[in-house]
This record gives sequence, C-alpha cells and structure tokens, in this order.
Amino acid sequence: MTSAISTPATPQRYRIWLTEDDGPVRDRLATLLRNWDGGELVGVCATLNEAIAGITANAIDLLITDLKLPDGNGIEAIRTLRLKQPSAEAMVISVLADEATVLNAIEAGASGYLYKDADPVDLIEAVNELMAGRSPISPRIARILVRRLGEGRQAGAPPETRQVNLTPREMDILWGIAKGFTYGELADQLKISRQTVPVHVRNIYRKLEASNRSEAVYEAIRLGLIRL
Amino acid sequence: MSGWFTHIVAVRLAVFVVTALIALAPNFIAFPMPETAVVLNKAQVSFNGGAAQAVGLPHTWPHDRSYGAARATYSIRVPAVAMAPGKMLVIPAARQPLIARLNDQRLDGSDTRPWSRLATGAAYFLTLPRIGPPAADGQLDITLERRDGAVPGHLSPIYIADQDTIDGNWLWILGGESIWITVLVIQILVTLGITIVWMARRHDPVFGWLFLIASGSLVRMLLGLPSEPQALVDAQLYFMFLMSSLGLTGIGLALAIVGSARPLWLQVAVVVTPLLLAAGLASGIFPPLPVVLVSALIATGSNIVAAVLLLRGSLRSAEWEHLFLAVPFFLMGWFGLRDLGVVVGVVDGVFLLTDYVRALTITAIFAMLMWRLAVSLNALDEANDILRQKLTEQQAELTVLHQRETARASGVAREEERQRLMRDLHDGLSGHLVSIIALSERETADPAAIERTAREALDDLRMVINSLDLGDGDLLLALAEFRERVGPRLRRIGVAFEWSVENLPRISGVTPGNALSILRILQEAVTNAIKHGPARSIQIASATGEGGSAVITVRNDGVVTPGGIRGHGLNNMQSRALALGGRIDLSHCDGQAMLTLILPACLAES
Repeated sequence: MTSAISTPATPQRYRIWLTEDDGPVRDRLATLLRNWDGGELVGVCATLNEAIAGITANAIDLLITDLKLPDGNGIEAIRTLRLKQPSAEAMVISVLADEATVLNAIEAGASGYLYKDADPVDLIEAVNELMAGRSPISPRIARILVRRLGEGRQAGAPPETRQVNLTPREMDILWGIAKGFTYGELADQLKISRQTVPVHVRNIYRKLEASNRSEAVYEAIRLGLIRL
Repeated sequence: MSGWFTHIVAVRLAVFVVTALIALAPNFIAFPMPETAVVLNKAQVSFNGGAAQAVGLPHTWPHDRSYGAARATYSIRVPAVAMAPGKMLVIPAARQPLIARLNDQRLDGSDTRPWSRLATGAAYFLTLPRIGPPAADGQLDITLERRDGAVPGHLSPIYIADQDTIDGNWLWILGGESIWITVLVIQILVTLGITIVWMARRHDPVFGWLFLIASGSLVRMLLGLPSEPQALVDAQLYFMFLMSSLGLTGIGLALAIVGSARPLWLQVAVVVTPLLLAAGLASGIFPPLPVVLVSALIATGSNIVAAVLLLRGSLRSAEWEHLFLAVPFFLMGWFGLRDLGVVVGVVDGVFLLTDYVRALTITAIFAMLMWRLAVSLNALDEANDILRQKLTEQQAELTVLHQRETARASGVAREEERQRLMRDLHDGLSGHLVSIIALSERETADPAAIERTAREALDDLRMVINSLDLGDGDLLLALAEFRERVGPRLRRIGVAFEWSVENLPRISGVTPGNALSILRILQEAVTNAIKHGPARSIQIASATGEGGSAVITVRNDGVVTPGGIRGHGLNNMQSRALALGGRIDLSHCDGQAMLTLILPACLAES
C-alpha cells in the first residue's frame, strides 16, 4: 500500500520481462521498451516455459505477458511470479482485452492490461501508472464485477461463492465506472482526487486475487492436493 | 355374449316369477286365525236401522246397495264362557269404519282412525273390559258405517282369544295405522324430491310426468283423509275422478321413459277426463256408481297399458329400469281390477289392495331415481376423466408446440444475429482490411496510412465485439467504452476532447445492432472532424429532446469543406440514424461545425 502512494525518491529503471509468442509484435514491444529510459528489458521470450525459467532466475519488477502461449497459459507465469517475487507486478497484453481474459488475469495476480496495438505513449503511460500503484478498469469489467459481487451477496449463495469484501468507497467507484462515469466525474462526485480512483481499483484487484487464492487453497485442500 | 344374454333372461324370469307371486298372493295367503279361540260366526244384521235378519260370518253387504252413506249393525251373542277379563276380541277383517260395543260399552281400539283407509279393509284387536266373573252371555254390537263410496261393507268371523295368542300374529300390520303414516311421509318426501328435480330439469319429460303422478297422487291421498267438514266429505266422490287422471299420467310416464312421443290427446285427456266425469255426475246425467266405476276402470286400464308399454320397451332395449317399473304398474292394474271385482261382488276378497301396491310404486320410482342418480354420477366421473385426459394431452401438445416455437424463434434470432454480425463485419473490418491491402500494394506505400487503417480496423472490430452483449440500459456503457478508446488518442494528437453525457435520457430498444450504429455514427463524426477539419477541439455532449428523445451533439472547430463531410460519410450516418428512427442534423455557428444526432425514446428495430 505504501508503494501505491509514494513514488521512488530516486529515478529507477523498472526491470521488465516480456513474453509474447508473435514475433513481429514481440519485436515491436521489445523495441519500444528498450528505447524507454525508465525501463530495463531483462528478458524477452516466446513461451511459457521460458517465461517461468526467466522469472525464476531473474529478479524483475514487472512481467508483461501474453496469455495465449504455444505451451500454456500466461496466467501460469503470473502465478509463478506472485509466488517467487511477490513484490513484482504483472501486466497482460491482449488484442481485444475481453472480460474473461482480463478477469482471469486479475485473479491470477495481474494488476493491469494493455492492448497489443498500444502505441509507445500508451505503453509507457500504462507501465508508469501500474508501477505507481494505479490500475485501469474499463466500464465493462466494472459492470461484470458489480454483477458478480451482487450474486455473491445473495442469500443462499453456495459457501464457495467467492466473497470479496469491498469497502463502500470501492463499491461506489465500481458502480460509477460501470454506469459510464469518467474518473474525473467520479472523483468530483465522491470528493476524492482523480488520481485516487485507480488506486482504489488496484485495491479491488488485489482483493479479487486474494479471494481467488483462498478459493484455490480451499479447492486444493478439498481435492487432497494440500495436507494441513 | 351368450353369458350376457343368459344373465338378461335370468333377470327377466326372476322379475316375472316375483310379479306373478305377488299378483296371486291373495289367492293362497290365508289369514292366520287363532286356533284356541272362541269363534263367533252368527249375527243378526240390520241395515240403516231396518229389520234385523240372521246372517253367518263372514258377511259381505249385498250388492244392491247403491253409492253413498250406509250403515249395518251386527248383533252377536257372546257366550258367558268367553267373557273372561284380559281376553281380546279379534276381528281379522272388516271393511268400512267399525265401532264395537259389548253390553253397550264401547271397546277400545274401535275408534275411527282418520289416517287409515278403513274403507279398504282393516283388522281390529279390541280389549275386552276387565269386568267381574261373567254371569251371563254378552251382547256384542258391531256397526260398519260407510260414509261415501261404493265399497260394500264386510265383516269376518270374530274371535275371542288370549293376549298370548294374539302376540306373534302378523295381522296387526293391517290394523296398525303406522304403515299408512309411513307411506304418507315417504310419499311426501319422494314428491318433494321429484318436484325439485323437475324444477331443475324442465326439459326432461320423465320428470315432468313423474311430478304429475307424484303430486297428483299426494293430493288425492290428502283429499281423501278428512272426515270433516261435511262439504269436503261430500266432495270425496269428485276427488275419486282424479284416479282416472293419474292412470292416464302413468301412460305418459311410460312413454317418456321408453323414449316415445306423448300424443297430444293423452295430455288433453289427463285434464279433460276427470272434468268430464265430474260434469256428467254433477249434471245428473250419470248415477254415481257407474261414473266411479268408469273412473276406476280408466285408472286400472291405464296402469296396465303403461305396464305393457314399459315391458315392450324393456324387451327392445334390455333396460332393466323399464322392466322394474313395469312391475308396479302391472300390479296396480291387476289389483285394481281385483278390487273392482270385490266392489261389484264378482271377486271374493276381503281387503282392497290397490293402496298397498301404490306404496310399491313409490318404492320403485324412488329406486329408479336413485339408479338414475348413480348412473348420472358415473357418467359425470367418466366425463371428468375424459376431460382430464384430454386436458393432459392438450397440455402436452401445447408444451411440444411451445418448445418447437421457442426453438424456431431462437433459431430465427440466431440467424438474424448472424446476418447482422456478417453485415457489420463486412461494413467495418472487411473494408479496412481491403484498404490495407490496397495501401500496401502502392509503389510508395505509406506506413502511416497503413497503420491508421489497421487501427481503424481493430477499433471497428472491438466496437462490434463490445456491442454483442448490450441491451436496454447499456447505452451509457457503450458510450463510456467509446470515450475510453477515443479520448486518449485525441488528446495524444493534440485535440482537446470534452465529454459530457450525464444528461442523456434513458432510451429503450437498445440492441447490439442499434448500439453499434450509434457508436459508428459518433466514430464517423470524430474521424471526419479530424480528417477534414482538421479540428483542434471536439466536444461531445448530450441532452433530452422532445418526447424524451436523446440528443447527442458533436461540435468541432474544424472548417468543413463543402465536398467533404457532406458526401458519402454523411449519407452513411444519416441512413444509420434513420434506421434507428432518428436523424442527423448538421449546422454551423460561431466558427464551429455541429453534428446533432437525435434518437427517439424507443429505438426502432434495425
């Protein structure tokens, strides 16, 4: 939480790992990142196994990964990252950023997402925002989250239905975004700083990940994979 | 089949045998006379106070007695030996009301009994007075008094017997009045029941005729009861003519039951016959006795005709209801003839039995009603079962039809959606891809133009995909996504972008296709502003228009060239807006171009 509010005192180059199976896209993004002063591209790879090996062997600050990899799902790489380097962040790159992809990534521990056709400005801005503790959320994702939380709160919902305990402020933000308000309009209404809105969104992401993780643990215990 | 036939024949045989036994019963049933009793069978009789003459008992009045009041007094000597206290005087049969006096002391039990039909014959059990030891023979005077009618009096031998001898003698049935009260009550109840059924089923002729018979015979019975006042007693003669009417009604009932038409003359005769007879009597054309006999003959003959009709019906249709009703009608006729014979002295009998058989008729009618009720209830149950079954079948059929219709409707919806998607992809993505190919094939390929077109293709694809799950209430969501995509890009190329759709009214009819059309209009407006303006600032705002319509304005400060936006692009936008039930307006003021999109409160189906 402290990292979300404070910015590094001294300029710092984020150590970045890029995983993308499509060659031209990978080259394009790698070039953009290499040319950026704020980042240091630690490694570039095209497969899940290479990504996991890279994450395990190298200390990084940010993993940028595609989800559809030839040898598996990028979500596995994000999980590995959250396990091995909890302080590192993960960002998903996608062509369409459809809700299923984004939500899966968030629940695996990703804090942001980016279109693959993002131009240099978009890319740098997204990385900076994410590293500063702020996460984007689209109205569509917000709407799905609102619906999901509503279902989870209904009486008689099965116990394994994920329970995400959002604060009233976080709920307000989710509702507002789902209704189509801009961050600015929302900040005005809630009388908070415009910059605070994405910080709340990051917290929502973290809670989603946590609830998913506890559910995963519960499921693992149930299946006998973990013995307590 | 043969078993069923045998069964029918057996039932018919049984009915015939029982009917014959009942019909012939008076010929072989003898009254049980006390064996150890003293028998008194000699008397001196005097008619209407005339000279006494010696007769033997049983004695029936000679038949020269004409119609009307008559009285016979029988004087009988009772031997002293029989005059012990506690003994009873038994008169097994006497027709006409009887009064007995022993040594001028009236004996209990000989009172006139208003509910009884004493004229048709009754048995008497009289208690001898508890007097001291007999000193001499007693003098028993028995008076039979006929108040009206033509039934000749009759007196059987008289017995003096112990109480013990009397007990267990079934003759008391004929002497008791309880049987008549019971028959009367049953008749009233059955008449009431028939009346109610008839009122509820006016279209059913059976119940109409039944009502006539039941109510007529009840009236006849009640009119025959009173012994006061004298005027009513005198009118009894005329009430007798109702018998003819009731007999004819029996024919009507029989015809109705077997399902034949009732001729008009019969219905007229039911009313006219008793009136004719009464008129003949009142005018003095006919003497009373022949008129009464004619009336009784009509009644009796009608009963026999009805019995024959019912019997014929039962032979044709094998309906046991016809057969069982034929029995009481036949017995009524049969015993009616017999009673007529007794009255005119042709048949030797004591009791007149027609009234007893009438009780049988009532019982048969009651049984028929109950049977019909049971049959109706069964038919009702059956009809209910059939209806329920049909209902279930139709429900099942409806369910199948509904499922088929649902499947068809969803198939149609899928097909429509597929067509729309194809059209949208063709309009957007395909066109852009073809442009990209064309651009890259140029000798001096412009990477920037290719990139721009590719981004437009991707944008359009995202719009199509994001529109897929939009519905009513989701227009703001669609606009927000548009803002999210367009806003940063405009700012990056240095175009000031203002966005305010808070005042957008809620409009209905938002479908994926409709939402996509709206987004494309806005996209085109923004693209045109940049391309042809080139605009340095773009403002998108919303307001509520007339009738709850939504008004979205896109302002830009670009200079609109005459041939640019007015060309193909505007036509495209206009036709999209028209398809939604809205329209596009283009205007200029204060150096700004303003495109106004007006959407109706309910979007048209596109």
